[in-house]
Amino acid sequence: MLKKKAARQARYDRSAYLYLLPALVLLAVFLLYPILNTFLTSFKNEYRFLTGEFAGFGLQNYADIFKDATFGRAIINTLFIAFVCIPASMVAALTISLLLNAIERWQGFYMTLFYLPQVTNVIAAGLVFAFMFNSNFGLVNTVLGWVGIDPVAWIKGEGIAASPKLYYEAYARCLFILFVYTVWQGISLKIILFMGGLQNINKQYYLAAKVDGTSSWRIIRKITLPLLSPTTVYVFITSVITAFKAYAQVISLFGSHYGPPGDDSKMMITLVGYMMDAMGDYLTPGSISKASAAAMILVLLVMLVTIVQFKLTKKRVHYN
Amino acid sequence: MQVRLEQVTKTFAGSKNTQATAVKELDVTIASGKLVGLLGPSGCGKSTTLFMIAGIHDVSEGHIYFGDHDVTALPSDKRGVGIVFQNYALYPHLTVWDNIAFPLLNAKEMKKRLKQRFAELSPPMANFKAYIQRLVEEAAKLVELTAYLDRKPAELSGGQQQRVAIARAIVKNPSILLLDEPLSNLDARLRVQTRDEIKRIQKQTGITTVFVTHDQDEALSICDEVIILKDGVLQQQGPPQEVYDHPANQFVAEFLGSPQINLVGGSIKANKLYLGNEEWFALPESLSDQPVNIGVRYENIRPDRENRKQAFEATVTSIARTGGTSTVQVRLADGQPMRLHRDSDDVLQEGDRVRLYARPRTVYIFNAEGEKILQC
Ligand SMILES: Nc1ncnc2c1ncn2[C@@H]1O[C@H](COP(=O)(O)OP(=O)(O)O)[C@@H](O)[C@H]1O
Ligand SMILES: [Mg+2]
Repeated sequence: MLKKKAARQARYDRSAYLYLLPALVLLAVFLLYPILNTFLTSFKNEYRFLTGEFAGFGLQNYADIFKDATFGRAIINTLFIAFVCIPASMVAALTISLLLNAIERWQGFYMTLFYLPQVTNVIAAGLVFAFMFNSNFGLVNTVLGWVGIDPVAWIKGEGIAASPKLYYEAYARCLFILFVYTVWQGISLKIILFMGGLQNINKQYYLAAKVDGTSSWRIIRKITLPLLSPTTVYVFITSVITAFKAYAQVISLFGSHYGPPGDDSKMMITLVGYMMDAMGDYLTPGSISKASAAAMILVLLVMLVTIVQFKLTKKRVHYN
Repeated sequence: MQVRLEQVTKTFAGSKNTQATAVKELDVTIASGKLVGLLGPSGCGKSTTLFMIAGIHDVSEGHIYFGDHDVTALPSDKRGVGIVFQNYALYPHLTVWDNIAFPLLNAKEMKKRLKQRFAELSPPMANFKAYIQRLVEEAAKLVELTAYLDRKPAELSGGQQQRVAIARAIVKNPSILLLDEPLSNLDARLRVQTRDEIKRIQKQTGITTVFVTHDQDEALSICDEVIILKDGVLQQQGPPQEVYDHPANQFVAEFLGSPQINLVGGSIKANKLYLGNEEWFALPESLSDQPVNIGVRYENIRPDRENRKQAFEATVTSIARTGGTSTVQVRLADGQPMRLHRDSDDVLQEGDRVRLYARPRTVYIFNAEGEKILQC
């Protein structure tokens, strides 16, 4: 009896794999192979992209990029984006979602409003943002002018190389703009996800709590947030991935030299930006393999953050 | 505490300015300390009525009194009601202990009341936390869940979840307990067991309890009184047996009782009742000539062995035996079917002609509008 059953199960399994085969092949060709290839390439010394020649396996590429000051900036900027923009946008999105969920009228209207950044082009919106921060006729300075604050040269890099003080002031201003834009850009999707999660919570929990005289704050803390936790984790992980891939917003705000006009240190470069530049330089021996090494570092960082997150929140996430 | 609804109406605003009246001019009094069933088919306004008592829904018109106190405008958390929702609404991320304790650790108001009770304890207890612990344990003990306090709701059976919900509702010592279809999510065997459990808990605590159900059997078996609604309108209120034996109208007669009551077309002519076309018996009161529906319950129809005048003839068309009783279907002279219960060892055979009989006071006569016009 049991044997027969097992045999039948095996037959089922075999046909299941057969049906899955096309998908598995596509996955292998377009996902598995590139990942493995990148991994291998990152260890090839003096790898020439056009001929495929290389001078043995080793850690040369990793050593090279870690010695490169631009790579250091790329790491720092990427981590900045992750550690500032993820918490900021998540807290903002969650707050807005809780408020939106509490109102009945105009909910759809506000949701559309908050969804707009999601359907605008990252580059185009970035240009508009950069323009808003324009020193001469940008909206931000105009508004600051109304309250009596002198115009700020927001995106300006001329003559900063000589003085560390001027350099870091320019850097701080650019970071600020980058943060504001990144949060603005990423908030819509998070709101949509949070709203979905909130509306999935059974209304009877709230009725029960209301009859028991639970305060709004306690309802949020003891009922809403715990029941929303799977959504929060999902939002967090997708945010981490998006943050570590930050690239387009930097290009659109600061141009392809990753900095304010006049800066030639690639002040605002990100990890993906660093990879892009290295890949663009594919004729130089070892360039593609350095890009691969940077990519592996990126993967490592994302994995690290995700694992830490899982460990920290394991007990507090409630899955149904 | 006594609950009184006075001309209570609830209208919901529908889409496009339409209005739906869920409950209409409801006048009922729920006696203090009683277990009262709110009974009616799905959509008749039972939950709406319950939610108005709880203060979850506002009342559109009319008043609700708890004792002498008009609570119509009182927010739900000030009414001191405990409610069990149809799907329990247990917090899935909290343990049984935390679920039961939830209402106690809530608002300032509750804490104040608890602190006061704590202060008046005799003998006094050492600390407030221990008092909370004791209240939770007492509630858990009442519903026999002491062994499960550390579990999450998902790790409990449906019946146990149900009892957690009851414990959570009574732990704050409510003056009124409201149960919305508490048994509808349980399987048949558990349902009988749990309803007896609810009866026991209610008797033990003496809390005035409103028990919503669409299952007449449930209501009749455990309630001290039933209130029957149809389309938001009160049909009848009274003790179960009373309502069963003296239904106010055809709807109540049909709704109560399983199997459903026999309804046979007939008429009144010259103060005589005709069952189909056959004269049955003379009416003790004078009523105008009209077509009527005649209702007789299965168990009230018996074979006539004494040649009574008030018997009628019928032909046995089928016999379905189930355990100790069998259901006999017969056909009247004009072809209308009727059913009755007999012992399974009865000698009736299909095709037999039988004389049947029902005592006049078990016969309900309804007019074309479904109003009861006579029960002798
Ligand atoms: N929030 C609401 N909005 C609009 N109509 C409602 C609402 N709640 C209930 N109703 C309507 O009121 C009627 C009674 O509903 P309900 O009290 O839930 O019935 P029951 O509990 O007896 O099944 C139904 O017709 C239902 O559609
Ligand atoms: Mg209902």
